Order: sequence, then structure tokens, then C-alpha cells
Amino acid sequence: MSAAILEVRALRTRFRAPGGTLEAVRGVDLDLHEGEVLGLIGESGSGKTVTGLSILRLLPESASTEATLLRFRGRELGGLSSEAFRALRGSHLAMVFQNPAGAFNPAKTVAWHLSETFRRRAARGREAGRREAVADWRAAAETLLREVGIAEPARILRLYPHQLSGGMLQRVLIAMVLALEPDLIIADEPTTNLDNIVERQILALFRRLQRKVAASIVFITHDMTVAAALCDRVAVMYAGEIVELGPAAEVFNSPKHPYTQGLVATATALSGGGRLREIPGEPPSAFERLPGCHFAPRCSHVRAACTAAQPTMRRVGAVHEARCVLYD
Amino acid sequence: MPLWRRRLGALVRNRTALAGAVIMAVLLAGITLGAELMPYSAVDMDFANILSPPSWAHPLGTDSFGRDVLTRVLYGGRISLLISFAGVLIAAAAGTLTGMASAYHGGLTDAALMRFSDLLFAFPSFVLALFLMVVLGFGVQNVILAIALVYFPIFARLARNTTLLIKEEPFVQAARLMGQGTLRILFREILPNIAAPLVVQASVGVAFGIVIEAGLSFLGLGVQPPIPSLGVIMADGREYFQRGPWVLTLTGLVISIALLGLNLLGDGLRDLTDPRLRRQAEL
Amino acid sequence: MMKTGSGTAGPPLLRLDDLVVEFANRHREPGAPRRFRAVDGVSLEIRPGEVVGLVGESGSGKTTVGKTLLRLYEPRAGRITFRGNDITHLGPAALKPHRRDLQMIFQDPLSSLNPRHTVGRALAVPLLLHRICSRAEVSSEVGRILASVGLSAAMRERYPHELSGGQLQRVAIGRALTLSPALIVADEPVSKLDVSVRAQILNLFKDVQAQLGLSLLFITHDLHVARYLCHRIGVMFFGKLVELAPTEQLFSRPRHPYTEALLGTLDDELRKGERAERDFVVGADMAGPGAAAGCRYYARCPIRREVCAAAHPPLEALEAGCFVACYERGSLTGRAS
Repeated sequence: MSAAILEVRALRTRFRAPGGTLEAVRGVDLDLHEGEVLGLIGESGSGKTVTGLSILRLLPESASTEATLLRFRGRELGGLSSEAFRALRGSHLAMVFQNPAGAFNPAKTVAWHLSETFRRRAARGREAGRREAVADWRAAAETLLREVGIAEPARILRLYPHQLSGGMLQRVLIAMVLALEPDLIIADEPTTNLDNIVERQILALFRRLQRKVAASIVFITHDMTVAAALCDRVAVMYAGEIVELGPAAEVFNSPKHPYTQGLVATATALSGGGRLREIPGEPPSAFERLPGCHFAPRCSHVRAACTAAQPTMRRVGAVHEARCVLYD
Repeated sequence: MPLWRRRLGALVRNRTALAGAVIMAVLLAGITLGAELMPYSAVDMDFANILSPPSWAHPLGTDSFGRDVLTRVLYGGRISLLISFAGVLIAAAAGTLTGMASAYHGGLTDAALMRFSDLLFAFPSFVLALFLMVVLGFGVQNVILAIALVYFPIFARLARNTTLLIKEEPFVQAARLMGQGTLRILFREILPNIAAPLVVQASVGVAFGIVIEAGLSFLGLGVQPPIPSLGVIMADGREYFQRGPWVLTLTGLVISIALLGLNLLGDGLRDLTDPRLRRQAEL
Repeated sequence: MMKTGSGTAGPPLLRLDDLVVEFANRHREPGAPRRFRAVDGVSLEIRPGEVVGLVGESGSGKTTVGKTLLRLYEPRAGRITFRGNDITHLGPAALKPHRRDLQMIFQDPLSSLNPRHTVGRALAVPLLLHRICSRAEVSSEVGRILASVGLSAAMRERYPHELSGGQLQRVAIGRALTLSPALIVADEPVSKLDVSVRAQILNLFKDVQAQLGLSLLFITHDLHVARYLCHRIGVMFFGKLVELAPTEQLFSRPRHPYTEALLGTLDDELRKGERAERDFVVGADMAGPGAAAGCRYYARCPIRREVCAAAHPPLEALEAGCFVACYERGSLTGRAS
């Protein structure tokens, strides 16, 4: 197992809301290894997006985050000033958002966006003592766009964001992220709003990205099949914590936590015949905090121990864990 | 928790809105109860006490006829507020109906109504009001009408724009699919959803309506004495400014406070009803 | 004009003939045409009690077909026939009696309900509007409808923003059912729902459809979801219907290359490195108006030939209720070219 590029321990994030305090993330531990794609799977309210935003300090004023450990390449992030962190975020840490349009200035062309990216990279290079001539950035931009599968880069450079489809925007955004050559990318549901065929293309692109640039990626998604196909390891989140963690193929083929089992069943069942297996009930809202296991109200294997106390992670395989009393 | 209680809770937490509400509550208490409780008359003259400066007996002094200024301001405030409120109400009703109909039908109707509205809107509000007073003649009713005409285009456009946004929403389409008629859709489905910005606009409108009325009456073109609107009081105060500056200035101060209160209330309401702020909770 | 199937039960409930719907082309690049055809000559039949799926990506026109048949959009050309009546150009008054029979479930359940009305009111409105029951009976009727979609009667006091996506969609389904419609157009009803809730709503659709024997036009971008519910599935691409077949036939023997692409799994895509590379470079999710002349799928098609660039192939019948629009796969495999 390669070195851990990101280490997180006991991450908690709370929001001040009119109805009280909302605990969106309740103690998340994870490691991201060099060159790995880690999937963070969950539905709405699971805390997966907030986890990503917490790590990158992209949360609004009303949020407060704490962690016993938050290290990037051995460097403790918690103590960094906003300035220092922002510098790090612009150069080594990057995020790809669910709605690509939000990342663009609607009054500027694609060319402008790419040139800005190059300019920032050059500025960062100057700080680190490297001189970078970005003389012919247009050619560099076109190469980059071709890398992400855009057939006519010259034409696309002239267009404005609103003239591009979602898939195209997402490709351009990935190109911009690539240009920065970050060490760590957090991708928050980058393909959720895209059609299936385009989605598959973007996912193939991520695969290529990972190999080419040796980036480490945290891939946030609600789609089990996407995670199974793209990720090396997956962490399944429910109600603000990780309930199962392990190699993607293993979690998908033999899920241990009842919630994961339900997700996998729904994902695969549509191909078979017969009635779809349902998970009854709904995911809990972030306001509801129960004393015991949060999945208990919907679980078909529930027993007394479940509602008594918060279950801890149990080992269910060589590198596979699940948060369930079934595996004592 | 019922919707109105939640809203009330939110109102209390928003400092701006709360401050505005408090100021307005105090003023309203003053012009309703306070006016009745004052021992002085607003119109009876007392030549023994002409132009006496502010004192315990007369907190805002007396005017050139010996009348207690505070009493006159309280009664005058009532009148100014009623005039402004009436004008804005007419503007809101007419403007909203026009705007909604315009947006829903689109096409030539929309274009025509909006051009008419733009025509009115092109004039600076006070100039338009002045012009209307000259054309229509003086007096309370015409001031109300002038304010209504000045504010009509704002409500019309606001209602039109918000309706345009709402009418494509799925729930409106669902209502059409139910077979609901146009009128029903406009009033049951659309109006409740565009009410918030209209209310905000109304509170700001009342504030400036008071200014317009005061201005018109100050120039002698609006409310005519002896009816004591705020503008009339100020006109009187200007005449005798050198001997009794408190009349003009203190009345002006009261108007400023009323304006402040209404604006704060409007701002606060706007913050409360901003859908973007609500989205922060949806992470 | 296509007849879409050998007879099962009697005359079709709904029939679309060469439907064309155009929109103004906003945000267009300089040089692109002013109007574009969201739906370009679609013909389809839906029989009583049948579930027909309409599958395609965004921009394929599938949602537009659904909304146009309900007359939410006006067609540019073509005919909509419902129960033998031509409803294509009927005015609101003439259309009203048909409104009871044609209902819709929208993609985003939250915006399909008036945020200022309680659930109870949302359900009561259609009941009272069409005089389905008296004022006195409304309350119990609302309770009954809520129960039939798996919600408790206490829901009637709640506002839409207090409900989850799954609950909202149930309310929307309940509302559609209040009028006992003959046909419901379901526009991607589960795409915005959590995965763990999707199965519940799909099962609800299945149960309701079976119990009430109503027809469903099920619009979705996910072929596998369509498979679970539909008797027949139509595949749309850029405004055209490119394949139409009974469900199992579509899956076991897809004819059109686009259908095959949709059926391809994620795993295949990622493993087949070269194929992924090729698909990927085309960037043809913007196969725009320029492609208007020939087959719409030309830019992405792995089996395209010269004849394909000339004109878009017509939808033609093959065996057993299967239709495809492709020169290569259809029976018109031009020997001449």
C-alpha cells in the first residue's frame, strides 16, 4: 500500500441552523493513498459532499469543522492560516463540482478561463522559484482540450459557458483542473447531471487522468455502479458517518453492511426479473440524531444491541470494515 | 411548526427587520393612541403660547398659532401615513393585476402594458407627482391618486417579472393539467408565490409615499391647511423658521425616523424572503 | 405514418402521428438556425393498459413528446388523437373534459407542488374542481388517496418543503390518481430521488398501474429502469424515434447502434480502452444542427455508410412489432450502395 497522501481522523462538521445544530459529518476517518481513487458513496443527507467541502475548507460561515487529524502529505492542515491554506488549495488541492456551470464566469469565454488557469500556475511556479514561459498558451490550451476529448478545441475556446452543454463544461473544467496539476482532486458527483453516455465518457476520462497525472482522487457519488467501476476503494456513508470501507470489487460483490447490501441490490436488480427489492423508509434528515445505529429503523436485521449504542467499525475482511453489530 | 410561527421566529431573529418593526410599532402607537391621549388640540389656537421652544409641557415646542407641535405631528403623521398607504395600496392592486395578466398572456398585451408602464416610470417620481397635482388639482384625494400613479409601474413590472418566473414552474403546469382556469391559476397558484417581493416593495413604497406627500404639501400643492399633514406642518415651520426652527427640523426628523423604520423593515423582509439564503441549509 | 404494432387489445388509447415540435433556439452560436426541432416527426401508439417507455438522453425530445401530447406545448405539425378524438388544436374549454384522463408526474417532485399549499389542499383541489366528491367527503377521500400511495393521513397538514423526495413523489402520484386518468405521462419520476427510495416508487408505479389498468408513458434516460416497468420501449435521439420494440426484444436483440450504446455497461466502457478512447474524442454530445441533413446519429455511429449522410432513415417495421430507423439494420439494407 502506497503512502497516505491524505489522512483524516474524527472529522466532525456542524451547521448552525434556525432549527438547532445540524451535525452533517459525525466522526469520519479516512486515508487516501498516493495514486488511488477512493469512492465516497452516499445519498442525500449522508454527509459525503460536506466531507469533501470540509477537507477543502469550502464551507459557509455557519459551519464549524473539527478533526483530531487532518494531514496532507504529512503536513497538518488544521493549523494553517486562511492564506496559507488558500495557496495550497489553488495549487495542490482541487475540486471538481457537481454543477460545472457554477465554476465559470458567464461573461468570459472558455479561452479566458484557461488563460487564467495558466497564469495562476505560472504565478505559483514563480513562487516556488521556477520560471515558466507560457508564451504560447493558446496552443497549450488546445492540447489540453484535446486531452479531455474535445474534438474542435479552437471553436470551443471562443464560446461562452452558456453555449456549451453540461458534458462539454465538465470536460473544460477537468481540463482546467488538469492544467493546475494538483496532487489531490476531490470530485463531487461530477457526472450526476450528465446523461449516461456522456457520463461514461467522463468517467473514462477520470481513469485516464488518474493514470496520466498520477493524481489521487476522492470521488463522491451516489451511484454504486459508477463507484464500483471507477474506484480502487470505496467508503459508504450513511447519516454522517462511514458504515463500510473496503476494496471496491469486494464491497460491491460481497457487501457486509445491510445498507450497502440494499444499495447493491437496487443497483443490480433492475437487470433481473421479479420485484425490485426495496429499502423501506427514508434516509434520515441531518437534524435527526439517534442514540444507536442510524440505519436501524430501516434495517431488516435489527436487534436490541443496535438501538442501544453507536456501533463501531468491525473488521470483516483483510482490508474491509463494516459498522454493524452483526459482525462481532 | 405552523408556517406563520416559523416566519415570525425568523422575523424576530433578523435584527434589521426587528429594528424596523420596533420603530414602526412605536410610531404607530404614537399616531393612534398617542394622538388621542395628548391633552392639546391639533387645531385650536393659543395665542399666548406662540412659537415657544421645546419644553416639558411641549416636547416639540409650539408653532406660529400656539398649537402643540407634537400633537400636530402625531395627527399629521396619521394623515400622511394613511394617504401614502392608500396610494400604495391602489398602486399595488392595480399594478399587480396588470403585471400578472401581462406576463401570463404575453404577446402584444404584454408589450403594450409594459410600454405604458415604462412611460410612467420614465419620469422622476416627484416631478410626475407635481405634474399630476397641477393637472388634477390639490387636495387629499388627488395626492393619493398621484402616489398611486407614481408607484403603479413598479408594481406592474415586479409582478410581471416574478410571474414570468413562476408560470413555467411544474406546479403551474400541473394546475393547467388539472383543468384550472386562468383566473384561478393567477390567484390561487401564482399570486401567493409572488406576494413576498410585492410586500417588500410596498413597505418601501409607503416610506417614499410619505416623502412625496410631505413634499407636495410643503409646496402647497398637496394637502391643504388646516388639515395637518406632515408636509403642511413643515410648510408652516419654514415660514417662521428664523423665530422657531424647531417646527421644521423636528418634524423633518420625525419623517426621517419613519422612513428609517420602514426601510429597515423592508430590507429585513427582503432578506427573509430571499430564496438564496434559504438554500444554505440544503447541503 | 407508422402503425406501431400488431393488435393486442383493440384501438389505441392515444396516437401520435408525425408530431413535430419546434422551439426558438436560444444561446445559439452565430450561424446556427433560429428554430430547432425538439421533436421531428414522431409517431407512436399507446394502447389501454399498456406501459410504453420513451428512452433517450437530454435533448432527445422525449420530455417534449410527453408534454406536447398533454398540450402543454403546441405542436408545429402532426396529430394527437385521444380515444378517437383529434385533440391537436382544441381550445382550453374543449380540452377540459379530456383533462381528467390525461395527467402527468414531473421529474422534480418539489417544484411540482405549490409551495404555499398543504398536501391536503393539493389533493383537494382536483377533487373539488371536477366535482368528484362533495365538500363533506373531501377529507376522507384525501385520506384514502394518501393511504393508497403509502402515506399516513397526517401528511395532509404538511407543506411540500417538509417532505422528502420520495414522499413528495408519492403525493404527486396520488394527485394524478385523484382524477382516475386513463393515461399518465411520467417524466423521469425517479431520477431526482435517492437510490434507496427509487425502488419504492418504481414498485408503487408497478402496483398502481396493474391495479387500475391505466396506461403509462414512462420517460427516462435509464434503459434499465424502463425495462422494469414497460411493455414496449421507444428510443429517441435528437428528436427522432430510432427504435421501438417490445421490451425483451429490445434488450435481447437491439437493432439500432444507439440502443446498443445505451445498453453498454460501464464496465465494458472502462475496460475496452480503445473503444472508450474513440467515443471520447468525438465530443459529439454537441452533434448540432449541422448534422440536420443525414441520419442524426451519423457523427457517433460506428457502422455508418455513405448512404447515411444523405437523409435520415425512416422508421420501418421489422418483425413482431419491432421498428428501427437505420439503413444498415433495417430491412432496407441497400444492396445498391
